[in-house]
Amino acid sequence: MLIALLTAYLIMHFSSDSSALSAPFAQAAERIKKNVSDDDRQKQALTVIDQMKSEAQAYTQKRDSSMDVLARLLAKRTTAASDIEHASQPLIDEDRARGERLLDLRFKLKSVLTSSEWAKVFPVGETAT
Amino acid sequence: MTTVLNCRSRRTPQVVWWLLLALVAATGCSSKPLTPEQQAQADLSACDAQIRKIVADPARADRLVALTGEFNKLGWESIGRVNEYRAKVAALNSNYDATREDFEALISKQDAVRETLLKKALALREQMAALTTDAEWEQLRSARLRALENGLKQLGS
Repeated sequence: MLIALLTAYLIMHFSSDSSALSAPFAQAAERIKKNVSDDDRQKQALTVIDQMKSEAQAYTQKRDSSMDVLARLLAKRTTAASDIEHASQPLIDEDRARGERLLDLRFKLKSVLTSSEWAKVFPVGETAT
Repeated sequence: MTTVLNCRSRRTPQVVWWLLLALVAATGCSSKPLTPEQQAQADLSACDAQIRKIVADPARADRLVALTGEFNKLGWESIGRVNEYRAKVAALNSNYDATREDFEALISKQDAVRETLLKKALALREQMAALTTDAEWEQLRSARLRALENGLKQLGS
């Protein structure tokens, strides 16, 4: 029943928390190049953005294969809710762990930039995605 | 006379068909694309019709249509909650002085929201499953709410 919808719903739930912590990478990198004049700090900041990007890519690949397992369970009418919850748990855990890693990187980036540079890279009123 | 009338009556459906075709083509060319809300409503109506076609028992079909409506509502509510959360995270991220604890408090709140919404979705799925046979469940795979699916996929990507 509405398998594609349920799958999309679960994908959204299992990645919504940490996705919010992903910076719009290309835009952030562009603004760092434009607003951070110190070469060393600019390089360090861009390295952190690259790490965030790699984190996002690795997570997407890992999540997609786990979602296949979940989609197969959802397709079977008799699968109990507890089985779906059980199969979802690694995805939720991974989303939380990814959130922690992105937070680490966010504070690493903060340690490289000044307050005024930060305001130009992440201006108020922009959403992460 | 009878022959002419018969001939006319045989030709009439063809004329009507061409007129309808022209009308559909003209409407198709001039019609505006549906708004997301209109698309979601159209999806829901099409999905309901499909459910009623597959599930012959009207009582079970009614219940399934109602549950699909609830799921649709829950889906859009979830999209709203995620967007709201993302806006809060972005606002916090813009604040240079925000602490790790500030972020963690926000994440914990969202975790609780996620768990509640997920439990509701799984309960709806369980009720839908209980109302259908294996064959109906299989056939209902093709029932889609595309606007909602796209909205959810965009959030998950």
